[in-house]
Amino acid sequence: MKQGVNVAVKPQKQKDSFLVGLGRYLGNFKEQLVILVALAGLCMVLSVLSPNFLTKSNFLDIARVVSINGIMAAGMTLVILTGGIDLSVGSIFALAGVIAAALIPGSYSESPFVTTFKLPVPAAILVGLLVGVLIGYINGLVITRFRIEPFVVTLGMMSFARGLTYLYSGGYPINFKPMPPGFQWVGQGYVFGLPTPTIIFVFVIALCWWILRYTAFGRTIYAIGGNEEAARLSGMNTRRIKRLTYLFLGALAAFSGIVMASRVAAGSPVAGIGYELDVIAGVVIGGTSLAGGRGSIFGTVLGVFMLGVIENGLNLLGVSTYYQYIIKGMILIMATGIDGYYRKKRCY
Amino acid sequence: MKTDNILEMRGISKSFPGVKALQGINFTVRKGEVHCLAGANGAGKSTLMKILSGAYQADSGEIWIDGQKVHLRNPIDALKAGIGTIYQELSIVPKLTAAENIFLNNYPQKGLIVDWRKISQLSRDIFAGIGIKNIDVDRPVETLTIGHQQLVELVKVLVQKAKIVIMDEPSATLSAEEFNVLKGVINPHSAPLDIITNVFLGH
Repeated sequence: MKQGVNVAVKPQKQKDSFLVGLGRYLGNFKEQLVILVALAGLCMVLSVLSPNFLTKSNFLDIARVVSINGIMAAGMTLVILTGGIDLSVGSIFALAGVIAAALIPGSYSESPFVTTFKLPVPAAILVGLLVGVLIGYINGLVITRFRIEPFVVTLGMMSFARGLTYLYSGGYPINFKPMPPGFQWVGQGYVFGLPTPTIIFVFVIALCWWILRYTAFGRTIYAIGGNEEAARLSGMNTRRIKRLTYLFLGALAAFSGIVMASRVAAGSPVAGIGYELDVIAGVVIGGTSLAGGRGSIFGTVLGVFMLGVIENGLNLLGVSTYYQYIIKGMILIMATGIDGYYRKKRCY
Repeated sequence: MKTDNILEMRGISKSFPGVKALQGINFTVRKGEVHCLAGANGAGKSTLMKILSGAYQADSGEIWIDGQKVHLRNPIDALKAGIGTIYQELSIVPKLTAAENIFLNNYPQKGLIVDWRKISQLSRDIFAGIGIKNIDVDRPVETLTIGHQQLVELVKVLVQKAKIVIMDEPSATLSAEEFNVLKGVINPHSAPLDIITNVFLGH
């Protein structure tokens, strides 16, 4: 232990100089700076290797792809910061996408459950979101009430929700003829020259950043992940906070699934299979510790962009998808290794 | 009748399988007093304090605080009753700043927003009030000395408006200099506190 090391004397009421403050602020992002540099390096290499990399259309493409995962990764950051995990995001993604699509005017499917009953677009989206909220709430309730490992509960939910999706859709995709323009805009439209999903992503990121930095709810998330016993002894309702994080992630996963349904113009029951890997990998690569209590939304943004750029680059270079899985897996393990290394260093 | 006794424990008994740890203990604290429980290992000091802090339940006996009978089923009940405990295993969140730890779950807010400036300022003022000026409240607690970490715990308990403060072996991890600061804080003539200390006793 670092005993007897004296803290620098700091006179009362005197403000830190700007540079000291800035230095301290940047010091909080040491790990993220490493990723930022790696990301910049990767972009430089790719721009040399592929003439198509540095084009506007390619960047918009990356932004669009990253946004779908990024919306979920933002919510996943909150869950992981409490020391939890949610493996059911891919299934919530599919279920919400299928249900919302089935309720939107113009959709049709072979499934007997997909009826002619339709709702206005915003109402259909809302129903999809509520499905995500409900599943997230059940996740959180089972985890906190019965004290079952989040890994196990959400692994079970991953299968359960996927089963519901198949049952409801009969395994058939839900297609549109024609797709209402309002719904089309959600996944395929543009705002200020940026894809709508990207605008939604930016909004979600800003919201999560604000929650984590400035609300008592967000600070409690850090406290629970940092020392749950201390949080509880301070009188915090740690179970309620945890339930809320799963509920919030459920809503975001559902929203992401709805955006995806709009983007590909279909509610697919096989959508989002394996997405939990990409989402969790994005969060972990961004420097958020799986043990909880340490990490940031800023890091998660970098993490999902890192994965997005790697995938995009490998596609541009014509590398087979099979290799992409191998490379993504390796990067995830490496990022976790770096996390462990930093943690050991911090343990004095 | 108004009583001077801020705390009365009456007839407290507690058994663990195979051992009777406490038998009919009476313990009274008046406002402004500092008590020290001394005894050999296994004498039951910690058990009594754990009952008072809500960590254990007494088998029999009553606890009265400020003339009111209380039931302390868990540490949160004890906190609400005005009993603050400084645990030996520190109950702080290492990654958060000293200031934030002090105001954990007690954040001063501007509307929906946590008021960081006020948290820092208040923390600095409180530390200054107990005569500690060289603590950087904006640093993560894990980067402070153990002694300062313990002082953060103490201040946190004060902010929670504890009427009675329990310290379990407070001097065990402190340097001589830090111990002097602590002695100043628990001096009954200078501190507006009612403190029970459970001081480590070598044997």
